[in-house]
Amino acid sequence: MHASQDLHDAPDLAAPQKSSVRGSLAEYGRGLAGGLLFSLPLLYTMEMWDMGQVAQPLRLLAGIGGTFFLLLGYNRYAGLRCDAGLREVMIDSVEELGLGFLLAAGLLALLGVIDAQMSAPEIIGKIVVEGLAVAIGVSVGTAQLGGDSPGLAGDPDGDKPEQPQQERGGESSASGSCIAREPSQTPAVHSPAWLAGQLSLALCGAVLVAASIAPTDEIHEISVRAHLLHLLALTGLTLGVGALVLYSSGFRGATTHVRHRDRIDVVLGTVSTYLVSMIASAALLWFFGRFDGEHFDMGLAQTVVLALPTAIGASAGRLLLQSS
Amino acid sequence: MTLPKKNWLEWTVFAAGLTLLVVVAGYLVVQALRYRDEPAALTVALGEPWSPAGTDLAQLAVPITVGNHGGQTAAEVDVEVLLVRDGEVLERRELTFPFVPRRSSRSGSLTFQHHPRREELVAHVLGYLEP
Repeated sequence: MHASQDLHDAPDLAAPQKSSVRGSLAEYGRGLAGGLLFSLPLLYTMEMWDMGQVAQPLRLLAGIGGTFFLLLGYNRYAGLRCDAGLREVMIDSVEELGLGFLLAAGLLALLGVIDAQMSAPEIIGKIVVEGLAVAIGVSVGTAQLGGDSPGLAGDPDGDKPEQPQQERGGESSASGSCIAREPSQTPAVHSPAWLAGQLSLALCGAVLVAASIAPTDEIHEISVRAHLLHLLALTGLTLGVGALVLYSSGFRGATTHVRHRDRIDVVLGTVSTYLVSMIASAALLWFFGRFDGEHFDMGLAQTVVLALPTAIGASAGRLLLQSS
Repeated sequence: MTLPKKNWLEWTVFAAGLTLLVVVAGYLVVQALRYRDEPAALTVALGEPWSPAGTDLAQLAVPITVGNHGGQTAAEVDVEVLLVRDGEVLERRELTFPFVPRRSSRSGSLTFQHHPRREELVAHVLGYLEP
């Protein structure tokens, strides 16, 4: 996690190398608050506890791997320090996973979902399933809930001196934001790194929103009833919502982080959001065992049903999770 | 190789997080290697019949524990307990456990009117669902 912001208050410390312990504590506090804020619905959901009892070890391992990958992407492209190297990003992600597990274990014990009488596989299973959700919340909370974090501050510059590499007002510095943003004049071609950053933020937003819906029985229930026409209409709505959020609703950051030079951009952006939504939707459903023993059609129907909330998360998340 | 500059608190949290992560992941790897596709293996154990204080003395409660030694969790485990006296089934009780996770156990109680002795009770699992 990053605590460098705090020191920027002190004017005599020009380029602080280490963060103060107080600053770190404040960051962990934000992380804990964020972990609770974003994952509370999941900690109080019975399907999640059941999932912890039922899930096979390999699936839990895959979940840890997937979440770690997601945290890497998030910390790289939306973390507070844009200049963070891979090693630093990995350290942050490990910390967040650890905090997530700890927080989940503590709260599950308080809620009586785990106790000493249960067997180790059951306890570990529940902690892992819930801890992964909490870890994502910790990560987002640390970066987004800070007062001087540009993420949710409204004013991208704020009153305080920002990190040297961060953009100030209109004049853009060399590397702009965490996502190597191009200069203010929209360039003809975006770099692959820019796209990777955008997509990984979209993925984070998608998982953040859809994780609390995917484990519920309602997705299956809806899919069983859904007619083919319903599914087609849902697909249209999913595409439409993505386009609406990114291109015509004036969301914060929509003008700076989304390229809309011509119609092709709109189509490409909408389709890539849809792609991310479907991937996130399918991955979550697989993790929660919703594909087990299902026919392909049924799996697809569930993916389509879940893709709508996922697309809202992907498109809104991509804009709201930006670091500048 | 240069390490990122962090204070002692951050390194402590990182070390704790890494330890926790390695322990959890290591445990899961061991689990994955040792218990792969074993189906649920259920056992039923009955305790001594007893009369709960302050309740109707006409009934005796019999503690029942269902264990699962297999590698997969069983759901909706249906257990039947018969009270057999002199070759005749006097009473029949049934109990459903929503979940019996792999290598775990769940407990409950059944009540009988005919004051059973432990050796007069016969218990077995009727069936279960794979979740």
